[in-house]
Amino acid sequence: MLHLKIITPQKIALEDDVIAVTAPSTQGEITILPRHVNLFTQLVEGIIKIKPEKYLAIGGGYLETDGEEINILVSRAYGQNEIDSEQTQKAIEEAKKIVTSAKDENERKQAMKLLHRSFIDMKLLKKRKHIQSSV
Amino acid sequence: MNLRQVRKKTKSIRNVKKITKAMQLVSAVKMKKAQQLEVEGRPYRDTLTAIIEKLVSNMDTAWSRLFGTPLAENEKKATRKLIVLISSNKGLCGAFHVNLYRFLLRTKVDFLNADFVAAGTKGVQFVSRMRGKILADFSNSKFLNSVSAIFSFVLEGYLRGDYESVSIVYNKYLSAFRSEAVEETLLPFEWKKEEIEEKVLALEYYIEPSPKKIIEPLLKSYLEERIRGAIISSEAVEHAARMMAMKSATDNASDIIYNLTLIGNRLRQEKITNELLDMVTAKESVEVN
Repeated sequence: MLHLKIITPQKIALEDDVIAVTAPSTQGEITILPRHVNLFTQLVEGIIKIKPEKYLAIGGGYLETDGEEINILVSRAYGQNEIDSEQTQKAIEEAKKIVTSAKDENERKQAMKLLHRSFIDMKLLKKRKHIQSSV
Repeated sequence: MNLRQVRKKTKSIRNVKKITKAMQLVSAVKMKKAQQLEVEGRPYRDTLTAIIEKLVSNMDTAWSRLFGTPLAENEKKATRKLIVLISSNKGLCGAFHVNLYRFLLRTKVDFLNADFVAAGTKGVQFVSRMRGKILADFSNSKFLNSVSAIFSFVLEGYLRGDYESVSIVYNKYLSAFRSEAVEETLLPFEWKKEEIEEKVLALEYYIEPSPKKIIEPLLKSYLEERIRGAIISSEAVEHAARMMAMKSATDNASDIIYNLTLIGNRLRQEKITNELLDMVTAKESVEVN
């Protein structure tokens, strides 16, 4: 068993004993199992998969483990029931609009970031449906 | 004072009391929120610090420019200091600002040899009174939203080689009734190796992508988090201080109202007695004649 802590600047998003954690690192996706070698790595925006059955959308951050504990520090972390599909859809529409109409590079970059984040959120929501239908 | 004046005064103080009471309640709510933020954000900062301590043993100070003092283009070592001063925009919060000012004066900050980055108009006012130089003022928006702006501003100035060191001065939150003005050095980045446990130092870490690549973003997010922590802490202190100040103001108002009511009653009594005396003497003089 691994003791997992996902911490954001606002709060501890999740603290639980888990079997395995899959996270998006800068080098590609990595999975941490118990007795993993001491590791410290940088994470990119994406989805964390936690066994048993849980998904979280995260912002960029860091992951640290010593084989018994995993500390994940990220800028944001949302569970599946914390994201509203309609709002995310709306955010995507708006971000798309801004990307096409942005006047300067900076604005466009920000909109692209938002778009990227919203896509990750949507992906997360689709995962939930998949689980529900399979049960 | 005559009776009418006393009554008027009592009424106005009653109004003041209502206002201070309302401010006290508002501050209490805000303090709760700020405290919660401070407490819930603590694990993130603590874990980040712990991680950095663990990784220290694998680090080479040459890997990042954040460790030493960078040189300016003319290869001269900078002597100026950059100070980030966190205060607030509003007054009426007791000793909150005074503590901060007193701290700056006590530590003998050389105002002529330091540049300031301020969040909070009160800090700006104080620094300009002391003839210090304000480089940037982040008072206008919510402080927490300008954390990354403050950080990138500070970092830019530092990497340009303009400053010997960068520190942050703020009121640190200890408990609801205790706070302390502190100065913490942000840059150059330092740690005390002696303070880290040997057990931690002995741990070997496999670092991805590579220690060299990870050190800068890690230190940057750590420093940014320090600034954010300072602002949250300062906000909690501000609201706590305001609540206390308003509580004592309300108490004082109650005292004054109590005393004024006594005076007013006495004056009223006096007036009645005088009127009675008038009537009695008038009656007696009529009867004698």
